[in-house]
Amino acid sequence: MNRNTGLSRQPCGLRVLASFGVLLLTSCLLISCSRLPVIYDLSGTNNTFLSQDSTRVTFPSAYKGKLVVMSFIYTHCPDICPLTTNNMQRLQDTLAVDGINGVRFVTLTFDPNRDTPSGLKEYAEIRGIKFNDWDFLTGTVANTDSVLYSMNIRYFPGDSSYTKDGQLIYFISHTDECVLLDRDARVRGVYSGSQLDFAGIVRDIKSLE
Amino acid sequence: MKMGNRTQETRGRKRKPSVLLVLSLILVSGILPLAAGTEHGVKIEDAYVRVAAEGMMSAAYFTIINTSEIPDTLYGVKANFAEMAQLHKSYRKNGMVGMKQVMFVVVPAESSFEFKPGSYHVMLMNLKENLKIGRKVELELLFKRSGAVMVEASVRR
Repeated sequence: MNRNTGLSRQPCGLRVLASFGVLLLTSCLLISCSRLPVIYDLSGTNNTFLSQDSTRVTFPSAYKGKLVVMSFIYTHCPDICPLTTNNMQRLQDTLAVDGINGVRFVTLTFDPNRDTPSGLKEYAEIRGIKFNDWDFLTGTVANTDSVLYSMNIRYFPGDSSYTKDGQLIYFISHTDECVLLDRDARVRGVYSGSQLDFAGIVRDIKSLE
Repeated sequence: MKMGNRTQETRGRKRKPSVLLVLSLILVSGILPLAAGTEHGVKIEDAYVRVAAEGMMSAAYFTIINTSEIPDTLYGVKANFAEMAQLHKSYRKNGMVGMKQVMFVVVPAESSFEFKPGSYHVMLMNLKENLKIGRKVELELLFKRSGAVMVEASVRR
């Protein structure tokens, strides 16, 4: 009885150890996978835009193999969008200080009818934005909507006003988000644009490096 | 000569009450404090406007400090470097952000009111010139009680 019990204990202990090991491995794999799940997959899409230099840019294929932080603004927004742009600039500086290179910044306008390439360039230049790893994109309403809706970014016309000479000034209500895309054009992180969680996005960028 | 001196003295004496009368009338009518603006107890601190290019939009931010015992109302802003200036408030709802025009802002007695990013701001539309970082511009804030208050604002990112 005793011998049998002893013999049966050994394989049982091994089994428990093996099970524990498998469980541990599975947990690690699950944790690493779920750490940054794929939220939206843009790899099957392609839309052509113009950059601030009027260069044709096909999104997202132009950025394949690179991590991308993408933000959404319109240049006639005086309050919220400048906060988002400021945060992108601060993030760009933070990454440079941390020695994290190769992250591309892309800003897509909500307002392709008013935001021309030269307008976007002016908007960026007066803020001292470095264009070496940052593109400002504008296009048609159709391809703008295609990209925005694929990431559940929404916008609609807001308040409007007229100048003394009858010129219409309109504003846009929009989602306050920026996203992190991995090297295969998959969205792996969504953050507030105007109230950016710097620690969170830097940690996520490091985990995808 | 004597007569002449007497006449001058008489004239001098007569002038004093009339000057006092005019000053009293001005004070009673409230014209003097209205013109001075800040004399009413409204003080503006930390005024700045957002960097922006000519033809675009900017926003102005500041803190209004009302040290008087009477509430005051900001109902308008003039900025000669912009085609239009309006009071606006940004809002956040269901993950969306937007702006609404507000017609006035009441600053209660002995309290302050902050115009800050993501909240109340002065919308400066169709800028007539570039607002580069480091520049200084003037804003004229129009209060119901304090009148026009001139403010110097620096241009910031």
